[in-house]
Amino acid sequence: MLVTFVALLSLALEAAQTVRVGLYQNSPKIAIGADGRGEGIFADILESIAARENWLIEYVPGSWSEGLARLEAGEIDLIPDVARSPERELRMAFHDEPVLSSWNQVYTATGSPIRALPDLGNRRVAVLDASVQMDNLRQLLANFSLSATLQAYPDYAAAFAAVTADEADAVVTNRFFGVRHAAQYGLVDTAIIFSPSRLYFATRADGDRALLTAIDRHLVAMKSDPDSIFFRSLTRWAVQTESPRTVLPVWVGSAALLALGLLAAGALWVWMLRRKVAAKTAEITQRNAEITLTNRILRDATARPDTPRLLEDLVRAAIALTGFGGGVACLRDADTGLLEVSARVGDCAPAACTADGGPLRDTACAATLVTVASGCGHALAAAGSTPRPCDNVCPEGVRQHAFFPLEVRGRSLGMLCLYTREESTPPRRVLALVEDLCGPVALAMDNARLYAEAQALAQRLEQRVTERTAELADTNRALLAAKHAAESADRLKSAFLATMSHELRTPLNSIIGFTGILLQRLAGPLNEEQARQLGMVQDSARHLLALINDVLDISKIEAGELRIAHEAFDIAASVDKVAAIVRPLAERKMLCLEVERMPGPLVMTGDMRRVEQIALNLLTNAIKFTERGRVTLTLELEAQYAACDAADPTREGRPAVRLCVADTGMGIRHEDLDLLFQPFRQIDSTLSRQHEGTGLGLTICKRLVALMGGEIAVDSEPGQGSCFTVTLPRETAAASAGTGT
Amino acid sequence: MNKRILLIEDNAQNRYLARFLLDARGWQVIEAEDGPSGLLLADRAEPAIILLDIQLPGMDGYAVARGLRENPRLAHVPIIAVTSYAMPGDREQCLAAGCTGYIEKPIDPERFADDVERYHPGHRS
Repeated sequence: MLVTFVALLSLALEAAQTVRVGLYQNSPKIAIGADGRGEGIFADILESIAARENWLIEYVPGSWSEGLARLEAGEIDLIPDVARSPERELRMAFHDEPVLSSWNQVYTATGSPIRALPDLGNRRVAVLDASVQMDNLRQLLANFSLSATLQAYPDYAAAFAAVTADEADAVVTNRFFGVRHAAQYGLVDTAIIFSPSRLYFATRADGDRALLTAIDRHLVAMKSDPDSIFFRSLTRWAVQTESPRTVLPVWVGSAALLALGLLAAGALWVWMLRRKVAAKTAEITQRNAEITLTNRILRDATARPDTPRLLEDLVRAAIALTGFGGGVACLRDADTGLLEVSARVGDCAPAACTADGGPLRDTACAATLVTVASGCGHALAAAGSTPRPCDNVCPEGVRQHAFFPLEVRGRSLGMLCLYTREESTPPRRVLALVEDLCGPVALAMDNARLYAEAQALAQRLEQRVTERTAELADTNRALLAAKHAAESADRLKSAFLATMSHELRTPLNSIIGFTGILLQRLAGPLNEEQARQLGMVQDSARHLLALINDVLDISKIEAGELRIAHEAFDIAASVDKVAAIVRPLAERKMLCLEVERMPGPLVMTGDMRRVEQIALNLLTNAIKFTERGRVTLTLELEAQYAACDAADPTREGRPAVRLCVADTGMGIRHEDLDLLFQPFRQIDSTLSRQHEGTGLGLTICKRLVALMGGEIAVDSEPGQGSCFTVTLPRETAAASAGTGT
Repeated sequence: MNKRILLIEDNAQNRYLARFLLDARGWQVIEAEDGPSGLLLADRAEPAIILLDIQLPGMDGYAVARGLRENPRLAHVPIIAVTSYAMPGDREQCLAAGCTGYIEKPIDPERFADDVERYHPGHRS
């Protein structure tokens, strides 16, 4: 009847292509519907495509193997739900886009011991006749060296029924069928899953390619549209609509218990880890706080060395680090060695260090003694141990003490004493940390003290400087006033001398002048007695003039006012001139006056008048103190003169002029030689009456010679005579060229 | 030959002494007691030599010497300073003011006329 209907339909739609489709039971992918038409996902998709391609579907129902045989024989064009395999690729053609993906899974009866692949050994396994999974299972078992009896059934339903009927121990099916139908057969799934596969429509190898191409095209389109028949069909035949009932095996219970135990153990482990992390975090936080505190103290010690505040901070920090109840910091007076509390933290009432209320000598301080005995940077002492610490650190209920010396470069500055009512001892690490604080704090305090001392010292120095400056200013003012006074006195003296010189000379001018006129008989004849007396007047007047001149000279020299000329002159001529002046004196005493010098002029640079004055003075003296014999004046040149008084080193080794005046007079005693050049000295006071003279002559000579950069020396033998030698630098280099006189 | 000597000197004894010594040598001495009259007399008499005391009342000898040197007619006349000034620089100051020579007081009566004549252009040395 169906064939008739289909034939009629094909007549009606002549253009339509007839496609013969093999139909078999493999719900929900493909199945034979109640009216003989196809059912399931492959049928839905194929009919949707057929409608669009104007295909006339002709279903040919049968078993899976019948279907394969019909395709081979060319009795049908298309068979749905075929997995590819190398063997099938030879006989069939497939489209490219798979319709569905699936895998094979083993199902067993409820309570079956078969759970895993090895359990299949020697079992009866129901498989679909001529199916790919049969081959795959056989291969899988072979790989594991298992042998099982594979029983072929025409369709899955029959295979499932065989297990239910205990004709087989297990059945292999695809996931679609298993999920959908296991429950109704009273079967359960196992963990044995294998051979994932893709499922296609297939034609005979030489079948109509156009069919496959059309199917491909439509499948691709369908899969990209969520509302397409593809997805609607999947939903419609969804495997989840009826889940297979799962019965838990006995071992599951114990496994669950075991899992529960493991879970509990895991939770415990996690909890312990968390605790550990929390403890470590707390420790790190604590260390961090300690480091922060330590850093703050150290920073303050360097940046803000305010001792009382710093010490209180130190006590607080030490308490915070050690967990002790309180404490004090004591400072030691460097001079007296007495300890006084400088900072106090805690509940101990302030107490005096000693019973009499005064500070404690550090040699009596228990804290000091205990730390010295311990020999390290800290000491711990239990309450009741001796020596007993002072009351400042012994409140009610104290159990333990910790002492830290404050030391700088081995010098004790004081103590840090802590107390606690707890029994526990702080860890070494914390004690070391407090020690590490004490060092820098002590150093900072010491530096602050040194700085203050330096400041005070600087202030005192500044004060002293100010005072001394004021004193010096006073002295300066006084000196300045004295200098002004002296200067004005000096000016007065110079003016006085000038005036005196003039005023004394003016009358002398008349005395000397008129006696001269009278003695020259210019005013008329004189008798012998008159001439003798006028001669005495003339001598006295000349002596007086010499005195005035000498006093004036010495005054000017003493005042530094005597100016020495510096001009070239012929000293040979000067020597001749002076000799001529004194020659009458020598002749009057019957003395021989000799001048010894090289012939010709001898030019030197100096003060001609003063040089002549010196020569005159020496010659006059020589004649004056010589009663018989000779007076010799020698002038000579010395090539290499080195002055004894080498004040001016440039004169070293320069040419010099030497003037010697030697006599055969009474000579000078050696002890008197030193007195010779001092003012107003004539060696023998009796001589001064016998030999008139000012007593200033040699003094003036010595000063003049010195002013000219030369020197004067005397050599004398009492009773034999004397020799005065004057040496003067010649210094003609600059002046000699222009002088020929 | 002009045998006139102008003597400018405020001290009468000194004038007398100089005049006595120079008269003995045949000089005609004309005298002035101060600077201004000395300048006047020099211009009128045109002496052969001028002897000039430096420490004069009012106009001092330096000023007189400069005044004399300002007169072109006296430009060639030797001016001899006669002074008791023996302080440093006296000699230089005299020469700077225009003096030709310098004789220190007190004068030596035995040499005075010789010293003066040495400055005279016509003097035979």
